[in-house]
Amino acid sequence: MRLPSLIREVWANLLKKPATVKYPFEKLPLSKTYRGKHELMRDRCVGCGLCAKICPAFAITMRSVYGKVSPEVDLAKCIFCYQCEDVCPRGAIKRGKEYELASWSRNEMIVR
Amino acid sequence: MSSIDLIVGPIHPALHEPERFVFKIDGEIVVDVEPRLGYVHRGIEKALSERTYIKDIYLVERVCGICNVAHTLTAAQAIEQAFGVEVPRRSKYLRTIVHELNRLHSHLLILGVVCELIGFDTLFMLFWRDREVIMDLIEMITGNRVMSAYNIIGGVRRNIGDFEVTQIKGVLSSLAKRVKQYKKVFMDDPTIRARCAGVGYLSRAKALALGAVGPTARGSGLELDVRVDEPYAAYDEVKYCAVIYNDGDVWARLMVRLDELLASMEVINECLDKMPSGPIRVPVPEAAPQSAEGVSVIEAPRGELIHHVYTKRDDDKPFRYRIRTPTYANIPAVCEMLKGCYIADIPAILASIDPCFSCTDRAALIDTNSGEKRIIDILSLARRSKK
Amino acid sequence: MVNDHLEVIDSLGNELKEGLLDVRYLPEKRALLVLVDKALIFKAIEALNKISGGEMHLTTISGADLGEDYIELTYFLWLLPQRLRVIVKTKLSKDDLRVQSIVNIAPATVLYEREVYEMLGVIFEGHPKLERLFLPEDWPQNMYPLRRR
Repeated sequence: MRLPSLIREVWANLLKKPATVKYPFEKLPLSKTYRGKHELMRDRCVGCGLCAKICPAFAITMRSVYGKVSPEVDLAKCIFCYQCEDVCPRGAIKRGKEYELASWSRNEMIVR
Repeated sequence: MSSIDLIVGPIHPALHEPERFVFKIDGEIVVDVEPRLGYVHRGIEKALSERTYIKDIYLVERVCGICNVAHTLTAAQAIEQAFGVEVPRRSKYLRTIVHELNRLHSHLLILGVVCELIGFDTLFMLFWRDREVIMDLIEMITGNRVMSAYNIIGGVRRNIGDFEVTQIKGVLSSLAKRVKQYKKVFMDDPTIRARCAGVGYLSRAKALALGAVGPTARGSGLELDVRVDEPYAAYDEVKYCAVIYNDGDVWARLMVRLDELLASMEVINECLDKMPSGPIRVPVPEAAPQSAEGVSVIEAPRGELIHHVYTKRDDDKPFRYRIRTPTYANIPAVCEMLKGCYIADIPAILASIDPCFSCTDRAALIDTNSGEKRIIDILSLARRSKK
Repeated sequence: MVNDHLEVIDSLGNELKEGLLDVRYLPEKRALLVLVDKALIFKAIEALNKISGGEMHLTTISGADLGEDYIELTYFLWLLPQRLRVIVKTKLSKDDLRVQSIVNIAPATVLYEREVYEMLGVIFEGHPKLERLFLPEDWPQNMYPLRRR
C-alpha cells in the first residue's frame, strides 16, 4: 500500500502557523479599495439628491436638518455598491474602512 | 414492485440551499426523482423590468452571490448590445480577469464542498484555505470579497495598476503549484476514486438531449464552452481550449473543474500581459436609445448563462428581462444521473453539478398580511419596510 | 465555418417553404434569426435538428409579453457541427395561446415550457406534465405574473 500523497501536506500543516487569524484580537489588513461604512462630508454636499435617486437598494433618503438638505444612508438596507460615490458631483460621499457594523438598534444603523 | 418515497429537503444539510427532491427508492437504489423548485423564488425577472438599467446591474448581481461577476457581465453585455454601445478594449480585458478570478473561487468552493460530502475533510480545508487568497485578490481589485460591483454598462468601475498585476501573478503562480498537487490527489487517491469514479453516469447523448451545460456537459464529453464557441469580452484574443473529459461520472466533472482552474490561471496571466492601456468605461445614456433586443451568452462557473433583454425607446427600464441560469439547465440532467444510484451517493451527485438554487429560482410576492394574494412591486415593499 | 449559416438558411427554406416568414444572419449577435409561423414551430425545430444531425443543444425558451396582442416566444438553439447560434422566434396571438411542445425533439425543454406556461399562460400541447414550476401551489388560477394587461 502506497502512502497517499496528501500525508506530507498534512504533516507540513502541523508545523505551520494556522491559516486563520484570531479575529476580534487580530484583524486582516483591508485593501485600499475596500467599501465599508460611508463617510459623509456634509460641508461639501449641495443637496442635489442624485445619490438618493440612483441608490439601487433605496437606502438613501434626503433629510432636511436645520434647513440644509443632505443624504442619510440606512446601512441596514445598503448593499455597499458605492454607486452614490460615483454619481456625487461634489465628492461628498467617501468609502470608509469600517466593517464592523452590527448594532442593537435600527437608529444606530443610519449614517447622517 | 412497490417503492418508497424519500423526501430530501427543502431543508437538508447536504444541499446548503432550500430545494426539495422526492426520491422514489427501491431498497437502497433510487428509481425516480421529482424535483420541486421555487423555494427561493424572488421575482427578480419582474423586479428587473421595474427598475432602471443602472439599478438592474446591482439586482442581477444578487441572483447568485457566488457567480455575481458572471451575472453582471452578462447583463452589461446584453444591455450594451441593445443600446449599441461598444466598450473600450481595456475594460474587456479587466472584465475577463475578474470573471476568471470569480471562476477560480467558485470552482475551489465546490471542489471543497464535494470533498466534504464524500467525507474527505482534509482536502475540504485545504481547498477553502486556497480559496481565501483568491478572495483577497478579488477584494484588492473590486473592493469587496464577494459582491464585486465591478462591471457596469459601458465598462468597468475600477482600474488596476502595476502593483495589482504583480500581486495577481505572484498569487497565481503559487496557487498553480498547489492545484497541480490536488489534481494528483484526485487522480490517485483511493477514497476519491471509490466515491466518485463511476458514480452518477451521464452519457454524451443524454447530456446533449437534456440540455446539460458547463462542466456537467464537458464531463460527459460534450464540446460546449461559450468561451470557445462564441467568444465574448477578451476571449477572442486569448488562447483557450475547452477542457473535455469523456467519463461522464462525478469524478470527470470534478476533474473538468480542476483542469479549468489551471486553464483560467493561464487566461488571467495572458490577459495581464496583453492588456492594452486606455479608458476603462464609456458614458452610456440612461434611457434606451432604441427599441431593441439584447442577447448575451457567457460561460459562468456553472455553465452557460443567458440574459435576454427587450428595451424600449426612451424608457430607462427594460421592457422584459429573462435570465436562464446554468443550474436550471442542469436540473433534467441531474435527475437522469440520480436514477439508479445509491442513496448514499445522492449528495455527491447533486454537488457535482455545482447546484445553485438561488440562481434557479428567481419572481412573485404574496401579501400575507392582508390575507389576499396579489402581486406587489418591490418599490412598495421597500416603502412598506420603512414604515 | 464562415458560411455555414448560408447552408442552414438554404436547407431551412427547403424544409419549411412559405411557412418561413423571415431568416437572416445578425452579425452583431453572431446568430441566425429565424421567424416562423406558430403552426410550424415544431417543424422548424425538427428541421434544425436534422440539419445538425441530431447535435442540437437547446439553450432556453424565453417568452415575452410585449404589451401588444401577442406573446413572443424565442427559442435559443446551438448547432454543434455548424457552431452556429440559431434564434427561432414565433408570435402567438393572445386569443389562442396554444403551441405544439417540442419535448419529443429536445427533452431539455421540459422545464422551460413549464416556466413559460406558469409565467405567461402559454399552453404547450403534447407536454407530458404541464404544471406549475416555481410558483406556490395556492397561486390563483389564470393569473400570470409576467403578463401585461
